Amino acid sequence: MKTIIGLEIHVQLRTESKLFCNCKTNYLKAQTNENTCVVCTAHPGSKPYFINEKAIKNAVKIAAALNCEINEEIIMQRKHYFYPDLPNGFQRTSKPLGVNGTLEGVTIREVHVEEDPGRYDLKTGKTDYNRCGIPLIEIVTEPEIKDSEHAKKFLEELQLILAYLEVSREEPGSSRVDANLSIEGHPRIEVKNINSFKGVYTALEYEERRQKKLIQENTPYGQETRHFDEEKGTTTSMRKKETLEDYRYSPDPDVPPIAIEKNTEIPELPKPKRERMEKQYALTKEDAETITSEKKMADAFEKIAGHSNAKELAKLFKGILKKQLNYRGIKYQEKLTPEIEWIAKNLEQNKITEKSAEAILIEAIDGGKSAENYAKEQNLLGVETNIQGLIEKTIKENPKAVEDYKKGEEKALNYLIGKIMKETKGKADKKTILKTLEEKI
Amino acid sequence: MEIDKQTMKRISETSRIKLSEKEEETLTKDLNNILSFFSEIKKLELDKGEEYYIGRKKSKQRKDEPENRKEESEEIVKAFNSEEDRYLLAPKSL
Amino acid sequence: MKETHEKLQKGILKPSENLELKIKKIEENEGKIHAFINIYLEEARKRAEELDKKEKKGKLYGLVIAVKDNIAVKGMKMTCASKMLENYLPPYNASVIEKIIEEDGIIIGKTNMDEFACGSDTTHSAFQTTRNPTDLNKVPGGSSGGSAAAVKAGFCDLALGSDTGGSIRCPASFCKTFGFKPSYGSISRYGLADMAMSLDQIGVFSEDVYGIQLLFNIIKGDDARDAVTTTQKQSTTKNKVAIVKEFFENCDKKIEESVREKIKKLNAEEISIPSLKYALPTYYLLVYSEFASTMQKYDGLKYGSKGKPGDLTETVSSARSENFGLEVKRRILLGTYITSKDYREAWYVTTLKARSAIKSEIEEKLKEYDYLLGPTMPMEAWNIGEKGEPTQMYAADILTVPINIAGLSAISIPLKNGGLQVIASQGDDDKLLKFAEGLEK
Repeated sequence: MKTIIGLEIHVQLRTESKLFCNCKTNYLKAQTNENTCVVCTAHPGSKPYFINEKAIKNAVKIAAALNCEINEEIIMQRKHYFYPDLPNGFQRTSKPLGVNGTLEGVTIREVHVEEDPGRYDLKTGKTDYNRCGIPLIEIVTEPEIKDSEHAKKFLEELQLILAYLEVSREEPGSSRVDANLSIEGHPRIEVKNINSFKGVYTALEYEERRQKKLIQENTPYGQETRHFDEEKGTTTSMRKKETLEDYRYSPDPDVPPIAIEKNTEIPELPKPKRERMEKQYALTKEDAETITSEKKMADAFEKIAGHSNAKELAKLFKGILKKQLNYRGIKYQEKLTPEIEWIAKNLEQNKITEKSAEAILIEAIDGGKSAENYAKEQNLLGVETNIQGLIEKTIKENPKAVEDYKKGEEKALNYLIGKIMKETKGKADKKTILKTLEEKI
Repeated sequence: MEIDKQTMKRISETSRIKLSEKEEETLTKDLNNILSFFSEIKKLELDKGEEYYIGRKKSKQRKDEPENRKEESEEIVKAFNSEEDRYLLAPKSL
Repeated sequence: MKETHEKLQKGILKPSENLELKIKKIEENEGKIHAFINIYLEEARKRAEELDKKEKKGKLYGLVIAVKDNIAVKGMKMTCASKMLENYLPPYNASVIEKIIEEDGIIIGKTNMDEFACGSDTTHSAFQTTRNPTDLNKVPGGSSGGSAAAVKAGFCDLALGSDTGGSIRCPASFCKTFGFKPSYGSISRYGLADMAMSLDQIGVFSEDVYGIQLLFNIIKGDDARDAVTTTQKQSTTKNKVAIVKEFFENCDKKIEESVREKIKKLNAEEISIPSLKYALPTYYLLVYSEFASTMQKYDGLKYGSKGKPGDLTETVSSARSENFGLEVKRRILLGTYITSKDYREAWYVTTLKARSAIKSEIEEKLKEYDYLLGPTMPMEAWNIGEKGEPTQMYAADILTVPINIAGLSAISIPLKNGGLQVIASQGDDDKLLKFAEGLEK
């Protein structure tokens, strides 16, 4: 039983004002119905302003990142239906801006822009128009996704690309997905109301299981639209009426055709960056993935790796850096780059221990003190002289202890370590000493 | 008879215009008269493209600069036919 | 009104004095004519008093202006002559109104019209019937009948109307005054409740061409809030005018004589424009489809008259059913029908192609001739209630609709019998008005 999945992904574009009016887009922070005007609430006589140029620019970047062929011109259409969150009784939605793209082995059928409707609560009837008119990009895939795992991977990569581009919003609710799933040879089911990328995986798993069960039990079923319940992780049937709308798409006479500037600059995308960094810095696939999980982190790595040992640096990034960021649930910040550079350098030169390194990093993240200042303050800076040289000296000066150690006497080793620690006034790292001794002896 | 009773029911549902039996009858007749009055247009063989934009041919694009229209949004909330805590109260669906 | 304007500008006549002259006329005859749906005498008097004291005089200083009730004036109801908006107060001013206020015009009230501009005689208002000041048993024409009557009856110096298929030119002809519809895109529609988006334009009534030029020059211009506005280049002068054969088909003989007499000295060449034959169906089918779309916003929730309590469908349906008149309902139903999935190819798509054909044929002619001439209406004003059947009324528009189909500029000049319609290329507004000045004598 082959599973066939297609996705329609709606993501809010990052703009200060709405698509066709100048109302603010900070709907999560604004007072109810504060970000409204006669245009986005469809008062008689209102007309759409000139389209928001930032929204178009941002949409083009996304289309380019998805390898779409970009059209030179788009027109807006009216999609007609009645619903409280749609003041005009129609939604303005564009014809495709980009077509024939690809991501994770899935063809992107098309990409277009449209207006976000407002928010209508089915239970209470409360309607808020702050969100109404915010620009959305819709990404439509061909039904080439093979299963929920594939969908997950696809959406994770998409999310990463969007994070790299910084042209879309990332707050909860800023992405919504409609999924289409069918078992080959059987009716297609549409699932609406998935309000997060994570929810898609749950919804698809549930639907696949549900449909396969119906087939095994020989229960017939027809094409329909189902509603995803985020809390329960299940889908329920919607009333038939909502599934058979004739939207009477017509070109919107109020919006003249919009010229699209195809040439746009986008940063190096996650996949090519991973592949390049793997080669360039001899990283493992896993390490490359971790380091490129955030563009700013990858940039920082490359800045520092220029004059630092890439391997050791990778260890630092995937180790204490990732740990501390995850623990706080925060993203990499550019302000950390000079501090990490300092830490990496001093670690390499054995001037600080790994333990101190972590403490210094924590201070840089939380307290904001520069690594160098904090290290000096806390007296974490190690011996000036080369510990290698010191160890060699100690070996030369204590031949008997070395002999005893070679014979297997634990006590002799401790004696040597103690001597070195005394010389370094306890600042040297025991593990490093041990390792170096073992190497030399 | 281009528009029959069933079609009339469908278009009045789609356009959210509830019609009484009498209105349905009158309007069905009216609509059919009108369409037949204009039906000559269907016979035309036209090879022209469809023209949609009579004014400006290419949209200007505006800068992304938000405005605060506090007074206007207050009036908009006041105009709601049913309101609670600044929300428009539409009928419930569940 | 040139005299009045000059007296006001020179300070010989004060704004409050001018206003009182108009109010006197209103008190004498409004009871018979019913040009206004709502008059705001107190507000007008207050404004006039303020203006009396003003030193720097705007270009419309002290002139009394009536506004068709589908154009938003803040603080004044905007009913569109419909029960749906009987008590609706717009929270904003239309762009044209902002300009009028800035130039010190006094807005006295909102004039009667056919409901949502659906009509050609102003008998389809939900509230009252306006009577033709030249003969109280006759209709004033429509849909801007109230504005034409107000100017003719001396209730104001100038009036604004809107014209989708003749709604300014028809009442101008019937009421024997001047009515001007500029090129599509010349005047911002921001604040004009749509009838048909690609056909509507705001225009002006005046008892002389001077008044039309004065007001037009102030309210014209590109507006970022109406994306279709555009200032077009004036065409080259050809020194040739044409009279269109098709315009005299089924035309009242007396009107034909009047028109031919008036243009005798112009040496007009007689030409034929065959595609005019299907202008009427093209126009109406376009109107139905665009009207149905723009009327989707009226749901009784956000503003306007509310529906009965019930579920979503019941509430919205009852609001619309109980508050729209018959002609409005007809047009919405027809528009919904001809754009629906199964019928759009046969009706809607054909209509769009016909539009292109008619537009290009007329534009071709206007490359050869500066102006096209003919009667504005094929008949004189009919008796109130005479044209009850829709197709009877539609047929009267035959001479005016081609102009809107092609987005052209046109003026109606009053004659002894009927009116003379002068048509110019899109963008030739100023040229046309200059020409009309010459014809005025």
